[in-house]
Amino acid sequence: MTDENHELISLVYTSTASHPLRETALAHLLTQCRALNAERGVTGMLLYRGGRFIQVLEGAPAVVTALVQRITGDSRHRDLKILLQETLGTRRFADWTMGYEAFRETDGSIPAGYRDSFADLGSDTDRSTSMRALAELTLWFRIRNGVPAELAS
Amino acid sequence: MSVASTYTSPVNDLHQHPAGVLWACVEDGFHVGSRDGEFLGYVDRQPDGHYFAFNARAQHLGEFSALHDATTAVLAASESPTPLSGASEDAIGVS
Repeated sequence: MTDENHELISLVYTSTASHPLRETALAHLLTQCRALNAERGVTGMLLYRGGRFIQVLEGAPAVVTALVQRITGDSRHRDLKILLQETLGTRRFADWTMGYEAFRETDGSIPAGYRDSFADLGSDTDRSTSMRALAELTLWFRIRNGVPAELAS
Repeated sequence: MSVASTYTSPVNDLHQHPAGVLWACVEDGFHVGSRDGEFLGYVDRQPDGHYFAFNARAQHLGEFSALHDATTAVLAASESPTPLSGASEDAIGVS
């Protein structure tokens, strides 16, 4: 996706699913999302865990803002909260109209002494914590999607 | 006073990280290390249960049977006398 001479922003929000989503419903949501994003020049990543969404949206400021307003009114989401918003030089998810990677099945426990990246990003405690957690999730997403090491580095 | 409130498990000692070092769990078996905001590397558990350790350039550092040993390898690599250039959060796409 080319963005020459166009301002770009990245916006990260969290929301709660109005109803627990099964894989088929999530797949349907992603299909809709990707089609709309392709038309609008939006890229990003969707995370879903335990009934909560975290989504990264990248694109032209007006387009992203309008999209967030649309999502706010989407009955599948509630309690939407913007976590981060920043100007971007280049897209972090240029190859994904909406990347998605399921987390491994787990009992939800985090090893003692370890932070929980998903919880840290969603908790909106402070910007440095949110940025660190976003970096960790971005790295994980890229590795899981086979981005060559030279691009991840 | 209960026993549980005063007992310190020796197992927990394995999870003490050096000052400034933070380890995060992104998903079960995938862990990312940083020190004072600087990305150090990551550990990824394989289907056979072993842990692969990688430095900040995603270069493979070795295979370990315990998570603690893998994270120790990441830290050791980050403290090597020839530091990695560009080994920061920029390296994983978030600045």
